[in-house]
Amino acid sequence: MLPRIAPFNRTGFARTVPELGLLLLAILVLLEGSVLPLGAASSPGTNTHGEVNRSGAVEGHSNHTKKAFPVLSFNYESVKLPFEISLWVLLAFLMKLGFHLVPRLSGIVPESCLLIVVGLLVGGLIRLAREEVPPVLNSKLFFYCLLPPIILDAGYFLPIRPFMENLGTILMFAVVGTLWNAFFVGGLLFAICLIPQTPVLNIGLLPCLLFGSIISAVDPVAVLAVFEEIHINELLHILVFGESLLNDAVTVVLYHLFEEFALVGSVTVLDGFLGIISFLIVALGGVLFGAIFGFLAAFTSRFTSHIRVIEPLFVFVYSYMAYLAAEMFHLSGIMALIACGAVMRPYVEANISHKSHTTIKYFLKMWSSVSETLIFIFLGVATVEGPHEWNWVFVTATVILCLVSRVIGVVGLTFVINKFRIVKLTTKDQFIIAYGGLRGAIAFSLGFLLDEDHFKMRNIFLTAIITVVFFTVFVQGMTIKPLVELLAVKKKQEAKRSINEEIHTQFLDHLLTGIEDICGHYGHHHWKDKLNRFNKKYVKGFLIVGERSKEPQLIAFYHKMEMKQAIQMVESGGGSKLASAMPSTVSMQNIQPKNQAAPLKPKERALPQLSKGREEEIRKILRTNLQRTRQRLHSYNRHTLVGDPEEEGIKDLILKKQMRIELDRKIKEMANHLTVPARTQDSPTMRRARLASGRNTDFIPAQQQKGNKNSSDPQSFTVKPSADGVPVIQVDLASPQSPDSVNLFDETGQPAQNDDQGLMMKTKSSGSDKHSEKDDLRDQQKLMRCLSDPGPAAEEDEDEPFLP
Amino acid sequence: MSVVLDLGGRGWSVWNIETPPFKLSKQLQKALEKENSRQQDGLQELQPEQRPKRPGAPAANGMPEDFEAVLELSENPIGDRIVEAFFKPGQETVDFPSFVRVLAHFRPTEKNRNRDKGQPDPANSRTQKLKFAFRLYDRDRDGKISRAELLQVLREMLGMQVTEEQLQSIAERAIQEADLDKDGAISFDEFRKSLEKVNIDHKMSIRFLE
Repeated sequence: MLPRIAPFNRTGFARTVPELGLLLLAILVLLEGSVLPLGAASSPGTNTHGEVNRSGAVEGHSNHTKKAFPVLSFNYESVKLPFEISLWVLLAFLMKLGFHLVPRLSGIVPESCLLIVVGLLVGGLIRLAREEVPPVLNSKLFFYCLLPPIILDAGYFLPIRPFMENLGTILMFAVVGTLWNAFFVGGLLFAICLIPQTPVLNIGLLPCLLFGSIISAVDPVAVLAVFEEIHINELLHILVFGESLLNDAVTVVLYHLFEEFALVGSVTVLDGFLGIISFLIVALGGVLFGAIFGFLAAFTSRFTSHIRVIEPLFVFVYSYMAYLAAEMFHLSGIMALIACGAVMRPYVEANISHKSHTTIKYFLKMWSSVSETLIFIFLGVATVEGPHEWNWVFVTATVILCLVSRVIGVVGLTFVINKFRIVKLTTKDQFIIAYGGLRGAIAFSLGFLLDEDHFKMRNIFLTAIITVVFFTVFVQGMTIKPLVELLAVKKKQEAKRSINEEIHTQFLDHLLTGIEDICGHYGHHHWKDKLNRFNKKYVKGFLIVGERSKEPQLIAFYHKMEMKQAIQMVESGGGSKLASAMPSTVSMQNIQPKNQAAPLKPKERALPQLSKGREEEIRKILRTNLQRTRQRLHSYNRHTLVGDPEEEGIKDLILKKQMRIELDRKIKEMANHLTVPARTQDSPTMRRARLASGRNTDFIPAQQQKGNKNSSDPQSFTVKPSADGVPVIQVDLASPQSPDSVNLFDETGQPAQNDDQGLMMKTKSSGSDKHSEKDDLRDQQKLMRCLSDPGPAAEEDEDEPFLP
Repeated sequence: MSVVLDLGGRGWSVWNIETPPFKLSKQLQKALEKENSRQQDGLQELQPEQRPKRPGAPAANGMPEDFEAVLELSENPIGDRIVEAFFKPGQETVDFPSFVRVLAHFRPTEKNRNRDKGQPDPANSRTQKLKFAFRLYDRDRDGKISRAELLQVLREMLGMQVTEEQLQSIAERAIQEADLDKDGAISFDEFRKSLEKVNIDHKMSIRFLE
């Protein structure tokens, strides 16, 4: 019985919803499992049928045998390949779904283990049905289809800053560590083979070293799969993960080197020397290819402002081509992918639309998820398939040696590395790094690639590789989480970067660069600063479209933060949450002083004192009314996602908000008698914005403010002006509205009276918060465009017919 | 004891050894002892002449103009603040001990320092580093980073590329985030709190100075 059914016995049969779901899943899986062998089994049948048909047709030209027209026919052959692929993918995802339905299981056992088990089961089923399992994990499929998405996902979202800061350490582990592992394991295995007691093992030194090089590389897929669930701190994550990515170059070189020379049988010093050169070429060449394609992609993305729909495609295709190009030259495809993703990301993200960015993110995650799942399932299937040759000595020796060499390698290297690091690696860190050295499917595929004829011991190798992979994934994968808890390793900080951190980090960067210059020391910061300068001056202008190229990073970050926050607030449903994490919204601030000012200046109070409840009412009314206007579906042409109005909208929004805040503050200041500006100093942007909104640009102080020096309400005025300027988007209304109607709204809100100017704003909007409400109306409408589907402006929509 | 040290291509001249707590590293000390030949008594003032390429008259005291000889500092957005930090308020010149004192802030932090209550913090402790950075923001030394000061910093860093409004908003936002006691300015404690997730030991250390 499938293991998932076991819990049913305790609670009774399929009582709760998740268990129902599980049952359904199990049935589906069983069906699928049986279809696959069925399909495979029927293919010879249809094959002959097809042949008969064809031959029949050839002859049938001469003598047409009259058959009944086939009302329903079954032709599996033509859809065989896509059908089977789809079945596998579907199976993979139903499995994934299933695991999450059983909460306890996913907590204890990492997903990769479960997937391998499923693969074993399916393999077993297929074997039972057909006596022969299709070779699913053939190396071509693996290296060209399954691996690239995972690596691209990793490379595109690689956290550059910690990666670069720890690059030295990562390279040490990747290069020196892998070399050490390879030679240690290979050499000692050879030594073991030499011992006369070992049964039937006759493996030369070079094949042993070849095996060592295959088995020594830490596998990015496995590391990703396991580390994703344990959430350790960023440093350790990037160390192990970076190592797993960068050791590909070493693996490639060693593999080809030993493969070549295992046939010949001897290695000279010259070969060793050539090997080192080859390593440099492989690594640097891979990175170079990746960088070239990355720049090409960035450059292409500069011109996509009119055809936003295909933007994600560029990212994917260019990266894949980088991978293939590198593989073509036997360079390191993984490094090419990483370089491509990392290089193109900052520029592409500045150029593409918000939606494309989301698309890229989700597609990458989706594909890498598919690949990962499939890899593990296939690993299970391939295990069942064999061919296996079990040799106790070899296998156990391999496992033990792998562990030992990893530990020694890590400890030794850390000892050396710590001399150069500012933040040293502790013993705990070393343990996690050593323990996180998981092997995975890459090793298996490389072993699979070995030529059967040249390497008689291929089967032994494969068995040993599978055993090591199983051991690391199951044993190490399952126990790493409790160990992390036990050792109290620092976990990942789920912190969003605050703007403070960003400012101060930049400040410190400049500071350190300055200090380094004073010392005359060309250190880390100096080069980083130079690179940044170069980037800003030449590269950005070339690769980023329009004005974004001049936008400093801090601003971009700030914008992003604001947008995120705005979206969050809209999603969380809005305005009633005035007392959110963000300290006082504008409205609160504005209500209070006015409410307090009210009794003191009865002359000025043309507006009724709005209680909060009343305000809520008003908001609700507005909300429901506005929502009704927007309840239609928007059609959109697949070829023209009309140009991201939300993007301009957001910029608009921020600008207008800022302007709003300025105005509010100035109102406040004037109301507070702190300043009585005859005419506010407008910056061009503000002036423009004012003109646009049709407001009177002559900011004439209201008459009550002229002479009244009575600041008898100190409390209300100790509200700091800065609080008003709080750049908080007050999201009261969740529904968007067409810009026209909002403008109309605004304009109707403008009375003709000049001298009531300042007050007028208050009147019309029960304090500036109402006014900001209107603007926020507009703001939210733009925001909603982000969230709702697709987002052409309302007016354009009216013009276009539903069907293009 | 004062000696002169020539650190190879860097042309760094050191004149005075300080006794602990500045604790110049052993390496430096050895070099200092080696170069005893040009020893002169008393305090010698520093030539901020850093590299052989650069001109720069060896001044008797380190003046702000000498720092300008360091070309890159002029490109650095906060270059003048950094230079200012070397000079004690009111002083026109910097002597070598002060110079070293400032640089001592950037030595990597030692872990497992035994924390004696009696001894003051060494210059490279996390708190001291933060204090130094804080002083750079807080030019008027009133113990708080006011909005104006923050704006000033932002203006320097971001230059002409952004509008005044954007600067204002960012400054607002930053103060609002960090300001816990709502006084409109960032005190040292708030500053420290806002940076608690940043690895200051790493960010404010220059390995060369170890």
